[in-house]
Amino acid sequence: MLEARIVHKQGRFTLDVKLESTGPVLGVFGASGCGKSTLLHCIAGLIKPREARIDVRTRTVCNRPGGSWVPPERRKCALVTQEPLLFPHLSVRANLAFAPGAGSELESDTGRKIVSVLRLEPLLERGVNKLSGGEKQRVALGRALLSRPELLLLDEPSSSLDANLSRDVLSLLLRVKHDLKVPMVFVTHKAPELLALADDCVVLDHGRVVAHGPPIEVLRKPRAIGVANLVGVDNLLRLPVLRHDEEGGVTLLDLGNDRLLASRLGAAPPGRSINVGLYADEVMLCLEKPPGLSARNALPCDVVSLEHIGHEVLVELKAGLHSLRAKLTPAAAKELQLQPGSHVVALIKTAAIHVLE
Amino acid sequence: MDWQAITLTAKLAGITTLILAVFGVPLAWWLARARKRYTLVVDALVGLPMVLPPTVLGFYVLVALGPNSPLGSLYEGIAGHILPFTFESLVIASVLYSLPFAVRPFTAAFAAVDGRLLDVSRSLGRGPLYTFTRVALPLSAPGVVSGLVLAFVHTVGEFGVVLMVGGSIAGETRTISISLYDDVQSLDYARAHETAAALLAFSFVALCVTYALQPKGRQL
Repeated sequence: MLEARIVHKQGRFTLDVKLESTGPVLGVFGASGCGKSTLLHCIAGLIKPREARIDVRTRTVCNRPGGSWVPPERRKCALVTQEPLLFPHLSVRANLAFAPGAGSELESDTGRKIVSVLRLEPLLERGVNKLSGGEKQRVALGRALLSRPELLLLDEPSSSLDANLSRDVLSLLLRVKHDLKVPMVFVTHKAPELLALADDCVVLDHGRVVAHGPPIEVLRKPRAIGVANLVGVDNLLRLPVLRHDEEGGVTLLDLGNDRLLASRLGAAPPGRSINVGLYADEVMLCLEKPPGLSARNALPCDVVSLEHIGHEVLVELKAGLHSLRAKLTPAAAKELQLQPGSHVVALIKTAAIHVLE
Repeated sequence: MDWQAITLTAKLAGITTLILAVFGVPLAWWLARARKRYTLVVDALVGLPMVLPPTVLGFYVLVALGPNSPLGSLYEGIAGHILPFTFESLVIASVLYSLPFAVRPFTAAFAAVDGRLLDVSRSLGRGPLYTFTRVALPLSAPGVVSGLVLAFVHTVGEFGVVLMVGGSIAGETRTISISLYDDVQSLDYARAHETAAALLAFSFVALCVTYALQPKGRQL
């Protein structure tokens, strides 16, 4: 779907990436200022990099210095940005029909499907200035899709929206992916979005690719590459739902080896695996399970390793078939006399377990 | 009122405005979009007629169009008479003199167009020309129109440059402000009053039009 080798200097910032993805959705993950948007602009042809070879599907769109250069209007890489950037002097319908051929595309079966998926019907005859943020973003997405792009470039399309609308945009993108089957490069700094939408993912840091692979793998990799810092979630687990305990208000997830993790009652059917995140500093350790405990999780674990990072100790644990990280103060680690091989009980409140879907 | 001078002035201002629209718009687009280090000198050159005494500009234009200059001798060879003191020379002088009054509002209006909208247009498959005419131009229309109005009004009112380059030949180079000057010289105050009042009213209406087109706070 996409193959790119780009070196581009912009003031003091240098983008130096090499990536290859079969998609259909490539997630580009990183903190702000890591070069995500610059990468998208290079793919779209809105920036002319000094040195680059970019192949989009079957075409080489850029081979510099010396080689070919396809201008943005002939790349068929539609860009949807954080702000919807609708043309303010045009109606919603005229915005949707902006791209060459988009007017007739709008009347076609695919066009009608796009309009219905994005719920654009009631907006068509309106001016764009009175639309809400979420409506604008839906129009922007529709406008891009109606240009029949070979590749949809999404630059944090939901980040300027509030949580509810952002979830709405995400579910629309999932429908775009599954029903309309448009390949995408999706830039985000939100781990849940990445897990939900991307098949493949690269992590950018200071203009370089620091990790590449399936999202769940990449997000779980050691903190050395800085991903954990970006994510802000130290434990990412993909666990099958065992059963729901409606009365108790918990959903039980299977850690393997008869270990269960109780999270807040969810809706995923038993047997389906879900992604959950847990901050390492929300895991409490003790040597024995205390009596009369409110926390629903008291998991017997083995200490695998201890790592001192600044004034904290990161404890790597084995719980069932999964590993779990806990963060303690050095004083606590000393008092518990933790060392590799120690048996401990990890206490986790259900509320600390975040379902990432 | 000197109707001959009025029609001549309207013709001069109309042609000047048209030329400025044709050449000023692309120039302003470049000035608004290119990097500053490339545009600085051109920007200053375009703005020069605003600060230069009209007689200085008129003098240089006169020299540049004179029979000893390449342009002047070329014109003389084709037309059979010298270029200064003709209507054509007035057009050339007016275009230069009114250049900043058209190009600067154009540039300001183009610079205010969100470049990201242009990027979106390109990424949706529209080339630079379509993007310019269908996105940039509609969004900067008030600024472009006020630039055209200012150029027209400014050309109508020019005096020093016209006097230097064109003199005062009735039907050829005697514009309305020259006519006013001549009226005062010949102590015909009644006619001077008519002309002056007409010019005043015209300029005021033209400014009202341009201001009406501008969004609040962005008036020139």
